[in-house]
Amino acid sequence: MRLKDLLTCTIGIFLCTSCIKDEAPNAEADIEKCILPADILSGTEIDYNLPFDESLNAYPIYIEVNNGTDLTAQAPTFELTPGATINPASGTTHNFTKPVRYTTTSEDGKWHRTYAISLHYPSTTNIPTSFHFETVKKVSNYYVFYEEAPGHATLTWASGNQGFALTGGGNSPEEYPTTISSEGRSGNCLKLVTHTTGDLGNKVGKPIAAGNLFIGKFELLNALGDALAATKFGTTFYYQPTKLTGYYKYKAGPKFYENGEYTDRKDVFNIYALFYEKDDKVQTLDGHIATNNYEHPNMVALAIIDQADAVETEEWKRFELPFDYERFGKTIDLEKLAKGQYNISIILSASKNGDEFKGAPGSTLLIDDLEIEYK
Amino acid sequence: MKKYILLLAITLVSVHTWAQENRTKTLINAALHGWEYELKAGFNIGGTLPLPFPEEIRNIKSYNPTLSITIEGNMTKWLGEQKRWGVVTGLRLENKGMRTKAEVKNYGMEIIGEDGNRLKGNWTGGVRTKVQNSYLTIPILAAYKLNQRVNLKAGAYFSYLMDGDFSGHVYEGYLRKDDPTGEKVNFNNGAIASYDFSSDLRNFQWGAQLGVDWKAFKHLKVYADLNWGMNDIFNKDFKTITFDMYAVYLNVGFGYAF
Repeated sequence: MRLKDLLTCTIGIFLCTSCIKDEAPNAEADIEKCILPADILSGTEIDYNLPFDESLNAYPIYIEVNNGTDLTAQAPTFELTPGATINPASGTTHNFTKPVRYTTTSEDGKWHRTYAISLHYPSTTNIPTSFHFETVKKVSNYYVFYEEAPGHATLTWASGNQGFALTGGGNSPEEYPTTISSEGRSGNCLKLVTHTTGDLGNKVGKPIAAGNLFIGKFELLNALGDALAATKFGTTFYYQPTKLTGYYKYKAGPKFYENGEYTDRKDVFNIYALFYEKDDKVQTLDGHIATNNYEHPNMVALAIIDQADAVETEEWKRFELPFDYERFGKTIDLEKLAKGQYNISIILSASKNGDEFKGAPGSTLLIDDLEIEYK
Repeated sequence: MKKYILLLAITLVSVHTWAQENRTKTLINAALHGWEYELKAGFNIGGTLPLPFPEEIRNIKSYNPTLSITIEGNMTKWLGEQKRWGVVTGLRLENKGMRTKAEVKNYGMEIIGEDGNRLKGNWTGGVRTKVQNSYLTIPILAAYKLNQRVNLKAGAYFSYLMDGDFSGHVYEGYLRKDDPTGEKVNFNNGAIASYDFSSDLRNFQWGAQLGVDWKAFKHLKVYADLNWGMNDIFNKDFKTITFDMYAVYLNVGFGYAF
């Protein structure tokens, strides 16, 4: 009898101390969805996961609305992390001719997030077509390139730097895979270096990070689950590109890393540009395009460096890459072109197979005076 | 660990042989002076776990106690005329292991890579843990003879970690970098981040031991000992896991009394 009591007692103690506690209130405070009348939205997808913007001192949300929408009085409603609250309140009317700031508070009351929500009309101006890599802004601990030109929409270049930041490497912006260098043909230039990602990068199966720069968007949210889908290539282009030209210097890293070991393989870089049409289903092409040998039903033209020309050089070497339209056999619909229904992207990488996390640490690609010729 | 078990098994067999030959003389003599000898073999069922469970742990999806074998030789000195009270000590080779899959919510962590790179953040999602530790343990217990068949024991144990494995990975979930409002990174499509804290395990462990054995036959006993860890299994300077974890195991098995 006593034995039974003893056992009951000990099991009782065990169960009492190791049972699942009540769930704590949520600590997150996200805007998960911003709702506006469907007839004013242009249909472009809204990104709720943009990185913190220091110039705005907030997390930005950009919402594209149709031309003619009254920006002075809009009353967005919000879906938030369950339990979170927002100030000013969901459904209140504000003047969106300038970004409107909202602050969310988590259910547990401990955490806040400040958002700057901007409504804007679809851009009708083209991005600059020549790029000199003179200007960067610092985001978090790394550089982001942007190109401004009078009469053009500012182009902000995307890179995988945000992903590299997660691995804890890169104590200064110069130690990131995508950075600026003062050794340009004139002034500054773009410097892409393939890095190892250290122990943490290894632990998530991403042992290297190739220096890369592209026109489009890097989505950190999906960078681990589907890295190729995290690089969204493309921005609207209102002309018909004919050629991509520019200058490069290249030095391959000493040892090539793939499948968990160093091999004798020689690293090469890659430069290519995509021109494709948008439709209801496809708004952007992603990193899968390269592994699919640049094939996609929406592709219109491809400009790519011939691997025979992608050589190591210590002097600036010029490249001229014609856009190949024949391969895809499509004609340009000028009406669609004027409406902004074609996208362009330029993709530069210090390691051609960096998208599959293969490459030689130390491979360095410098690029300057990049230009899109068009008609 | 295997070689230790083998060693002990050989010892057990030889002691057994020796015992049979000399039982009449030596053992009876020892028993008259209040000494008893016992060999025990069993296994540990339990967990290396935070106590009490922190609110971050939302669900234990699977638990496997693994086959954690223990083997022990001990001696009891019964005291006084009545021989109702006694003291027990001995030597135990034991594995304490488990495998779990748990779901956590907003669990604050900081992973420090071997190269010193750090990733700090709050994790929501799955955590798979594997613990397989081998200890050399000395129990020091008081014994009470309830009746001719049942003994109760209580006291402390002191363990030295001979070989430790505490590893696993996080899966299916998301990380908020730095704090719950930081950048969000999904772990999906098989993306995992592995961890291995084996080298952060503390070498010395101690805890309370509470046990009972029942003499089924003249030489055969059935026993159950609860071993409740009293110090954190990790070193003091280990901060990745923010809560202390304790080894709580029930050791059950058979004993051979000489």
